[in-house]
Amino acid sequence: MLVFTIRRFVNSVFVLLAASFFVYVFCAWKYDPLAVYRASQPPKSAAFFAAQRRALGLDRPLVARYWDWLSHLVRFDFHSLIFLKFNFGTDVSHAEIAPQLATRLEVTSRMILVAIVAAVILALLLGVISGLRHDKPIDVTITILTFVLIALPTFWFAALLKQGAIALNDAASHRVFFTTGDQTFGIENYGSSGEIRTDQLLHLVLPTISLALLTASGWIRYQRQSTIEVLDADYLRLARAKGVRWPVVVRRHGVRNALIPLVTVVALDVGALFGGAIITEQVYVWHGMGEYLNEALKNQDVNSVVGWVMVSAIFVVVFNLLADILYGVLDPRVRLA
Amino acid sequence: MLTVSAPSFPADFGGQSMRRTARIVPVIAAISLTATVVVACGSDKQTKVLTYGEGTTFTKNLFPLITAGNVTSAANILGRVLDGAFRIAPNVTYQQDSDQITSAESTMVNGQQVVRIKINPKAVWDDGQPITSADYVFTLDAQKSLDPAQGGCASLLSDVGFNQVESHQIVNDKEFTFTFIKDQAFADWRGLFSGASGSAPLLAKHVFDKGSPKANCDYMTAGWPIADGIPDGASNGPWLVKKANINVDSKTVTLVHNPKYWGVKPKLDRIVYANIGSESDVVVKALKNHEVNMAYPQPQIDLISNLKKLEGFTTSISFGPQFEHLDFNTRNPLLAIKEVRQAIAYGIDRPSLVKATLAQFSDQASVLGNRLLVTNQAGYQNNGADYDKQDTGKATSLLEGLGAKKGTDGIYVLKGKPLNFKITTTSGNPLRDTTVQIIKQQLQPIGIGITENATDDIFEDKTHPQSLEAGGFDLALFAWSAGPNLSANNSIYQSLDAQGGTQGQNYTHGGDPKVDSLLTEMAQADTVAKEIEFANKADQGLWSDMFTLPLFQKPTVLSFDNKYTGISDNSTQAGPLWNNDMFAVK
Repeated sequence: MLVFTIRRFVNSVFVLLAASFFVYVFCAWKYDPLAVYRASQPPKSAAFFAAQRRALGLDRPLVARYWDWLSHLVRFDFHSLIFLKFNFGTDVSHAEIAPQLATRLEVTSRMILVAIVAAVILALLLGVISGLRHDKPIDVTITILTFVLIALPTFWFAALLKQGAIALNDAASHRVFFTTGDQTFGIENYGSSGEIRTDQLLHLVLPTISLALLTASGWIRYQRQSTIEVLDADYLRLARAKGVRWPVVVRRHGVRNALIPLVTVVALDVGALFGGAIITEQVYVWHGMGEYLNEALKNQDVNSVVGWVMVSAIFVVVFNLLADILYGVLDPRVRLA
Repeated sequence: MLTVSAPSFPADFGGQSMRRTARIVPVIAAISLTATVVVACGSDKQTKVLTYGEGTTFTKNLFPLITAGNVTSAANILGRVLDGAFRIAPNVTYQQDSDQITSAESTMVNGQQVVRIKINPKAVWDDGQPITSADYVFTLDAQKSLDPAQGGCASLLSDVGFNQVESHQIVNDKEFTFTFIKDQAFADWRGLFSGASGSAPLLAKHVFDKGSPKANCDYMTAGWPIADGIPDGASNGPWLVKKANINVDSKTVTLVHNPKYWGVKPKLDRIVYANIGSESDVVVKALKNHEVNMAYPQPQIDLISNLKKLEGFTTSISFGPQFEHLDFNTRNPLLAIKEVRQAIAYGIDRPSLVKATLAQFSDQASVLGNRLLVTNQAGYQNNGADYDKQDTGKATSLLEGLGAKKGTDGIYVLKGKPLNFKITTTSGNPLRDTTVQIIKQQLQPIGIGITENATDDIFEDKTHPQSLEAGGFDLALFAWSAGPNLSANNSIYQSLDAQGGTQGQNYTHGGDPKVDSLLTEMAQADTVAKEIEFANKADQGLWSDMFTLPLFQKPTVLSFDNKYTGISDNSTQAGPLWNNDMFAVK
C-alpha cells in the first residue's frame, strides 16, 4: 500500500507539472493583461506600456517566464510548522498571489465543508434506502426528488431558496436568513467574536442547503445503483443462506461494498469543489476560489489563473490519493494487489 | 444572556407580505424566536450606518495614481477620503472645494498661464499636520514625468498637464503659484488637484517624500495594498479608511469619521462599502433583504424593472458620461469619401435607435448631438441637429451625386465596389448587438449593406488584426467617456499630423487642420467659458467631417433605501458616493 501511495504521489507531481506548463503557456500566449488600458482615455503613453510590460515580465520569452515562475514555485522552510510554502508570483496589480489564494481557499472551505458532510450523509442515507427499497414508493419518491434536483440549474435553485428566505424574513419581520456574503457587512466593526461566529453560521444556512442538496442528488443515484448491484451479489446470498440476519448482512457486507463507487465520485467532486463552487459563490456573494478564477480570467492574468489551477489540481490529486487509500480500507483485495 | 435585538428594519418592512403569509406565521414565529435567541448579529450600536453594494471589481490597492488603484471601486471608496482642491459635480464640471482652498485663479502673463491657489488656513491632514503649499508643489513635482531618467516615475498612469508645468513658487505656507510652459496653457488645470475621484489626489509631502525621486517612485509604485489601509497623515477628507476597518475576506471597507476634519462632519456614523458583484438577482435581493441600502449596478432592463418594484426604495436613471458612437475608418477607400460617411449618418435614424434601445430604461433618453460635451454637461449644445432625423433622400442623393449605382441586390456600387460595410464591436454585449441590427435594418433600404463583427479583439494591440489599433474595421461601435477634462479628447479627434504622426486614439485616421487648431485652442484656453466655446466650434467641424457619429449616452441606475436622505447620482467618474458626507438617516 505504501509503495502504491508513493507511486501515485510521484505520478501526481508529474501531472501537476504538465498541467502547470500547458496552462501557463496557453494563457501567456493568449492573454494580454494590458488590454484594459488600451481603450483608456486619454491614452496611456508608450512609456507606460513599456514599463508595465517590463514590470510584468511580458517582454521576456515565454519559456523563460515559465521557468522563472516554476523555479520559485516551492520553497521549504524547516523553521516553520508548515514547511512547504508556495509562491505563485504576483498578479497584474503586483500583489502576491499565494496569500490571496489562501484567503479565498479559507472562504471556499468554510462554504463547502459543511455542505460536503451534509451531502455525504444524505447520499448514504437516501441512496441506501432507495437501493434497499428499489421500485417501492419511497424509492420512486427519492428518485423523482433527485432527478428534479439534478435537473435544476444551480443559480435558479439558489435564487428560489433566496426568494423563499426573504419571504420568511418578511413574515417574521426579522432578518433570520441572509442572502448575501459570508457575514453581515461591517460586523467586524462592532460585533464580538461570538457574535461574528454566530452571524457567519447564519450566513452559511442558504449556501449549505443549496450546495448540499445539489451535490447530494447525483451521489444518491450512485449509492442507490451501487446498493442494488451489491444486493444481487453471490456473497450476500451466501451470507443470508448461512442465516446471518438481514440488517447485519446489509450493514457488514452490503453497505461497505456499495460504498466503493461513491468514494470515487465523492473524492473527485470534493477535490474539484475546492477549486470553487463558482455559481453558488456568485449567487450568495462569497468571495472564494470560484470568484478568484472569474476575476483572473477577466483580467487576463496569467499567474493568477495558473496559481488557481495549481491549487485546484493539488486538491484533486490529494483527494484522488485519499480515494485510493480508502479503497484499500474498504476492500482488502486492493491492499493485497 | 445571548438574546440581542434583531436588525432594525423600516416600519413598512414586509407589511403586506406579512398579511398574505399569516397562515404560516406560527411556523415562522417558532423559527424566528429560535433565531432571535441565537442571532447575536446585527446589533450595531450605532444606527446611522449605510451599506453600499459595489458592483465593480474590488480594488487591490488604494493608491489611485497607479494601475492597481485606478479602478471604479477604489474611486468610490476614496472619493471623500483623499480630497482635492476641486470636485467633479454632476454637471461634469470641476467645482472648488472651499474646505480645501479659499481661491484659485488662472491668468495669462506674457503668454504663460499662471495659476494662483490659496489654501484654507484650517486645512490639515488626518494626523493633524497642516496642509501647506509644499504639499501642493510636491504633488505637481511627483507627477511631472513618467521617465525615470528625468526624475519621473514610470508606474504612474499619467503625467498629462503636470508635464506642462514649467515652474512653481511658494508665496507662503497657504499660498502658491505655478506657471505653465509658454504657449502651452492647460485649460483643465483644475483636474491636477481633483481628488481621488478625479484620479488626482493631493499628496502629503511628509508621507510621500522619501528623500529622492527614485525612493518616492518606489513608494508610489507599491501604493497602498488594500489590506494595509491608508497610512496616517495621507487623508484630508471627512472620511478615513484604516487597516482595522478593512476586511479583505469579505471585501468590505468601512469608512469612519476623520476626527481632524475641519469642515462639516458627515451625518452618518459609518459607511460600509461591500462588494456584492453585478449579478442582477443578487443586487435586488440584497436590497430587498436590507443587507445593503444602496446600489449602483450596471443597468439592464430586467434589473431596472425589478428595482422599481422594490417597496421602500427609490430607483433613478441618469445618463452618464459614457456614450456610444461609430468610428468610420478612412483607410477604407469608400469611407475615405466624406459624402459616403455623411450618407450613412443621414441614413441612420438615431431617435428610433434610442427608442428601441434606451427608451426601455428611461423616457428621458435622447440622441447625443456633441462629441466633446454630454447632455448633462455645462455648455452642451446639439451641433448635429441636421442629423437628428433620418433623411433617406439626402443619403441617396449624396451617393448618386458621387456616381454610385444600385446593384441587383439593392446595394449601391461606387468605383466598382459595393457599399457593404462591417461594424466591428465588442462581443457579448446585447445593447450593441441590437444597435448594429437596427442600423443594418435602417441602411438596407437606402442601399448600404451592414454586417456585424463582434470580437473580443477590438481593444487589443496592433498584433491583433481586428483591433482598433490595427485599423482592422470599416465601422466600429464602442464607447468613449466624456468628462470635465475636455483636452483628453484631443487624442481622439486631432489628426495624426497634429499628434506628431502617431494615431493616439484617432482610430479613424481622419483629420481636419481647422479642427486641430480649434482643439489646440480649447486645450489652452484660460477660462472654462472659452474652453467650452472652442469645444463646440471643434465639434461643429467634426459634424461636417463625419469621422465619427455620436449615438447616445449610456444610462446609470441608482437605487437606495428611502430611510436615507441626501443621496443623488453623479454619473461622472465621481460616482454615487460623491457627496457621502451629506448622506443622512431620515
